[in-house]
Amino acid sequence: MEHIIYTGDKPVKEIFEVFSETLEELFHEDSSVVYIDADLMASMRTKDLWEKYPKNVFNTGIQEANMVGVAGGMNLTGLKPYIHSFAPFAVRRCFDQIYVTVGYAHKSVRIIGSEPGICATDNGGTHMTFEDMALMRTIPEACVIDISDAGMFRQLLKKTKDRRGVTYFRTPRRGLPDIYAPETVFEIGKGKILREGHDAAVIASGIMVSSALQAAELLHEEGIEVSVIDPVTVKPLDYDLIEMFARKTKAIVTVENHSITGGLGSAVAETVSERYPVPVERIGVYDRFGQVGNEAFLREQYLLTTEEIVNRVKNLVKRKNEI
Amino acid sequence: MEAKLKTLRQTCLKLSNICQDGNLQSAFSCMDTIWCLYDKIMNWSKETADDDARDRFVISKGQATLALYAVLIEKGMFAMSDFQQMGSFNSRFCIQTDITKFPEGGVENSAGSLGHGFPFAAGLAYAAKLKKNGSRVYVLTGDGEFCEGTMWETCLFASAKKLDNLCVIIDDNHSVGAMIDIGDMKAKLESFGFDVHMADGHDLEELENAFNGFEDNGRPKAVIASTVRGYGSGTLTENDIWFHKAPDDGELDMLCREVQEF
Repeated sequence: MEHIIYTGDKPVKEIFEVFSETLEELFHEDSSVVYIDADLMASMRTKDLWEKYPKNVFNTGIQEANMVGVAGGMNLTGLKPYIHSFAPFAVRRCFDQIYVTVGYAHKSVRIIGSEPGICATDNGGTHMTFEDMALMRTIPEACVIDISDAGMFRQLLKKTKDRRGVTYFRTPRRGLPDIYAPETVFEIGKGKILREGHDAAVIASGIMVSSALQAAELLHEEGIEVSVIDPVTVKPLDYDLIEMFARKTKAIVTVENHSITGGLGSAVAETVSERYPVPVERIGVYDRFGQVGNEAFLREQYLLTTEEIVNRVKNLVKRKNEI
Repeated sequence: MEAKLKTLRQTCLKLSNICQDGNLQSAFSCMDTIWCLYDKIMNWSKETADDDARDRFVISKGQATLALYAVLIEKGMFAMSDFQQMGSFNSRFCIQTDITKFPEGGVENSAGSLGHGFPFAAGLAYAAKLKKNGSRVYVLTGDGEFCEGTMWETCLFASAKKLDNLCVIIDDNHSVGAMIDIGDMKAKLESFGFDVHMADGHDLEELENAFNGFEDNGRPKAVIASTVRGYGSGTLTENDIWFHKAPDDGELDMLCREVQEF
């Protein structure tokens, strides 16, 4: 089991701070690393980097599709691009370019999509991605990472520097509480066990990991003991870990800031049904578009609350015991 | 500056104060263009806002939505009191327009993602051509928005389909130059088959002449309106902190006064 430091407090460092720091470290370690943005440097607070590293940092203006093409071309010459935009523009808008220019062409490009799902809050429906993981999962050899902790982000940005194909990070820019102890080691395809209990396993990713930990505590007070798993990478999924907890608990609940179609819930259900079929409850957005709202309102709207996790776990455990 | 243009800007400031959001610099730069269209050019009124043959205004640069709301209030389509919860999920007046909340007309497109309004407007213009209803479509874009590839796809399409009922207005407030040199927009658009007029985007007479100076000759239209971000307020023009900042009550009074004295 992982050593976790979760308190629910504000993080030591926000994601945007970690992003700038890590890029700067990468530029010093490897001069072929480049960072490209499509006019959202102000939002990601990377304008200072743009001025400081003119040979490593580029701004295409508002043209995400072209940015992906440019990144693919740069990689062909040996450069190692990290590209950023808000998740809808980084994924939904230029999916064809990502699929063809990066994926099919086996280029090595890291895509950072910020403010996924309800994190888009007041920017509303056009900015709200409940489909980005679903899209990216279908690209052969792609890696999909739903960031749940700043230390995870820092380490995996570095570890994927030479990874071939599409590597997709979805992450809020701020407000993500620290979960993991500083010494934690993250690997692509290796999930984390945050809590162990035999009644059910809650598999949660991204911003929903902390909600799952809160729910686990509330359930514990009612005498229900659940495991909490963070898959870290939704693709490749840690299939062995998922199977192990299907066998141990016989009841799985998935939780994601994303549509229940095509994302974490789908990936887990696919794995469980093939390896060791047990009931799977998927918590996430059910066939709906985004809308304007603050985070609390959106969590209520799309059933992404701690209460929802508690209730769904209770129902599932009851159902399991009736079988 | 004409009194009406001051009133409109003050409305933008009040809306921004209410919702604590919106992009005032951008709204002020295209304020005069939108007013000119609704007041002098377009075949549009609140009574005919759902008439299929009306002229339509599409706001592709959704960050300037405050300016559109101000004009629609001035034209009686909506009342200031409708905006008390603007920007919240209880209000249909989003920071960037949401067409699904206006079945009776008044708002013609959902804005927010750049590079979407121009293709959408071309579809409206094409449909009007097919229906032969005489409707014209005006679409407001930013200069930076022309970095998007879809804009150039639409240029190809509009020209090929002879959409002389489509007019794209480029609110050229010089925001793109810091990132990429967009070159000679007039020559570029003309090479795509557009009739292009240049205008001072803060001179109503020049704008009116530009819009009225086009012929029905099978070529799509473009007006490149040279503008200043935040025009009408020295504070907004000079300080980029106002790129995305809303005034508190004290700042609201100060900025309204500044606009009044402009």
